[in-house]
Amino acid sequence: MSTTANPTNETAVDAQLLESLRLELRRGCLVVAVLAQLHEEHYGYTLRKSLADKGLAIDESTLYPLLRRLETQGLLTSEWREEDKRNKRFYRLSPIGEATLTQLLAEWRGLNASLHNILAPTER
Amino acid sequence: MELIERYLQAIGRYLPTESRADILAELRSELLEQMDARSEEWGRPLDEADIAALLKAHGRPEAIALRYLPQRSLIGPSVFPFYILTLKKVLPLVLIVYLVANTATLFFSATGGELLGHFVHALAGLVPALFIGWGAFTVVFAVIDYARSKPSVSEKLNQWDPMKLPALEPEQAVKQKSFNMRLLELAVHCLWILYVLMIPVHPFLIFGPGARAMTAAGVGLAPVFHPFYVLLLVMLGVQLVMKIVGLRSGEQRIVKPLDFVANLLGIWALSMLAFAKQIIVPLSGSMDASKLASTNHALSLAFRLALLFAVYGLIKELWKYFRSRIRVRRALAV
Repeated sequence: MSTTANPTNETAVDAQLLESLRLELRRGCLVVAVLAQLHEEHYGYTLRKSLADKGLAIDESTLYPLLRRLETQGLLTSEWREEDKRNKRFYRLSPIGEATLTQLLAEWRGLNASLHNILAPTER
Repeated sequence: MELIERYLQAIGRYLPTESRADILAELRSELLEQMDARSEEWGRPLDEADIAALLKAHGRPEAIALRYLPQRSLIGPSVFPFYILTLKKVLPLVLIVYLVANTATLFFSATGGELLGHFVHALAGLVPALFIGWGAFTVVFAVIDYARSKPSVSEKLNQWDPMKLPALEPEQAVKQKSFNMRLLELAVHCLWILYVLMIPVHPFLIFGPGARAMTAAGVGLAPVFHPFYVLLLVMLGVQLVMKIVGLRSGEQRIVKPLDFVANLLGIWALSMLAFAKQIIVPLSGSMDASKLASTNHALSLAFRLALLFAVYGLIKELWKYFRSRIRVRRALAV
């Protein structure tokens, strides 16, 4: 009786695990991306469009609760205004948000550089 | 348009009152923007089916509302490992306390015939008892988790000193008796069997002067002592085998299970006396009936107490034995 393990099974990537890790990796990046994009004033729909145009698609059921949480944390300010005969809620980075974003970007650049150093030998 | 309002109404049911209107207004604005964009792309106004497809893609109302609610858990991830660890340690204790308490109740209240009924009743009560234990510990840990969320408590809990860690426990050495000691034990056991075998012929060996007093009082041992005596001899026989096997190897693999069998036989023999209707019987009509009944009652209580200790001892030994075996298996698996 053969006991040789099937190499395909051993190296197969667990799709569910991969999705969960991908989401975890994305979660922190989304906050930085949203804060950075809100240097300029946006309402939800245009913010989503502009992020998607730059390659970071985010669905509305993730974006709106995130905006609300960031506003509660004092990183964003918002106001309701009428535009094109429709009421829209406009978001913008608050002064605390600006300072936080600066620190987060420094952290991000540090992490990015470290990852480059770690990955460089394997990519050669 | 009515479909969108129905959708928003369904989401609103799950949202907190204070932020409901605001969240729904923003969602409405988003959905209308999407409709406009799609209508512009397709060059025609959207019909009911198009709107339904758009809402379906947007997500189930409950799931959408859930995203706006704060994430709550009864016991958070930082406390959860301690919760599981404590449950693993405490639930067996709850089980033992329950077993001991119920066994005690059983022994001191039931007579032989009622025993099975009481046993089934006690067994049926075990599941609720475990659930209550589990519930109580969950509540305690939920309170701890809540307290941990307070910065002052959290700071206090995180303070610890590595210097105060307990000293290393000495490795438990397996106590192996010497061959001479095992031989001596075997000799003493043989003498003990001889002694027990002589009791029926010479009752004074067990009762001393009491044997004469019993005869004078006109009472003797009840017939229940006959099967008790046989069981006692079987138990001593098993113990003899155990000691002979132990003499050769001294190993616990066979000796320990034999010890459990001997203990079970002892418990069986003891339970015969504990639940017997009569332990001493009148040999002549000279003894007062109420005095005889009260003596039997007192003896019955004494045997039940002894039985309780014997059962507790056996449970404790079984627990230790199986726990150590599980640990060895886990260590081997690693």
